Amino acid sequence: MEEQMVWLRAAQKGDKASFGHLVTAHQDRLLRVAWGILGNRHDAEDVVQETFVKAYLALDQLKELKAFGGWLLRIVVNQSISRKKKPERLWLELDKAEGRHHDMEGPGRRLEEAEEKKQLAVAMSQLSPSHRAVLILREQELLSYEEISDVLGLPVGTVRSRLSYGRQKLREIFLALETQGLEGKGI
Amino acid sequence: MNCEKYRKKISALVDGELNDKERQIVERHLEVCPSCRLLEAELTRLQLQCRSLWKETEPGEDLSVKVMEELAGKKKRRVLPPFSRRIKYLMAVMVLAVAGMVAAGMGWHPVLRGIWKGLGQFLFIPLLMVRDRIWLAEMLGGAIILVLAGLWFWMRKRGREGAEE
Repeated sequence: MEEQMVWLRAAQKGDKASFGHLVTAHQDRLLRVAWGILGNRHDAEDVVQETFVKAYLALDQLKELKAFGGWLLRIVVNQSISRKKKPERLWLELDKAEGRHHDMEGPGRRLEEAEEKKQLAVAMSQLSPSHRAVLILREQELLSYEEISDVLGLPVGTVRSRLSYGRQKLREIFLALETQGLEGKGI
Repeated sequence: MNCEKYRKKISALVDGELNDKERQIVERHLEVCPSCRLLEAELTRLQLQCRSLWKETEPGEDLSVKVMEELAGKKKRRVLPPFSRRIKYLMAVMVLAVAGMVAAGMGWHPVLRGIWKGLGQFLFIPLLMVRDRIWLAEMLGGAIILVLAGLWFWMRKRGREGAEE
């Protein structure tokens, strides 16, 4: 953390190499968040790149150096939300990814899990980006409501209601997809 | 039973984000309401599924090289000072302008003096009520013209810097 403060101070003075260290330190987290909101890796990488460029150019605006991580998250979430969405690619990528994981598990369970994940991803892609954003920050980054409120600049009550609405909507879509899947199998 | 107000809180209950009082109220309702209990169970299950959905995101290639390439040739944006400081700058400019005019005395060009007096009188109508304070109107009018001219030059400079970026 102390090391990051040193890089940050140097970057504020225009040292691009120090900023490069910060990029390496934060890129995976930002990529996860952008990927979660946008649904595909290619767009997520573009957004993360844009986020870092934007952050570097506006680095002087950051007064609280300790808030750097949250500040980056806010930029990446806003950039992701404002970007044109391509939800249909969300589950296709997950589908491809399945082969790389769970190789040690039984094939039946693996298929079941893969199906479940695919349905969940499809359901996620049908939520609005702003609802997806709060869900990603909560479920993936495990932020508290207070932290999400800081990152998104929203009141805690709004975070709470967006999460509640998002989850209930997700549940409805997910259940509908499950039912369709069972009907498709003739069960 | 009206469950709607409880259903809205079940998500926060699953997250452990309700205060003690709210939690007790919702939990008491769950004891007597099977449909809300089902919702709680499903939201808990959904939470676990969501958490496992993205955990497999593989780390990407190091973006620092691409970001550095993008940044090459880009200058850091000059940031406007905070609003309160800008107001202070503006006040300082106005005080300096007024002081400058007082120092210049009353012997300036009659045309310029006429413009300044006209603007000052126009903007500070109450001053017209007191004839012997006309000089104050002239000074304020002049100060406004100077401040506007200064702001115009400053904004043009900012605009050029923005275009360079």
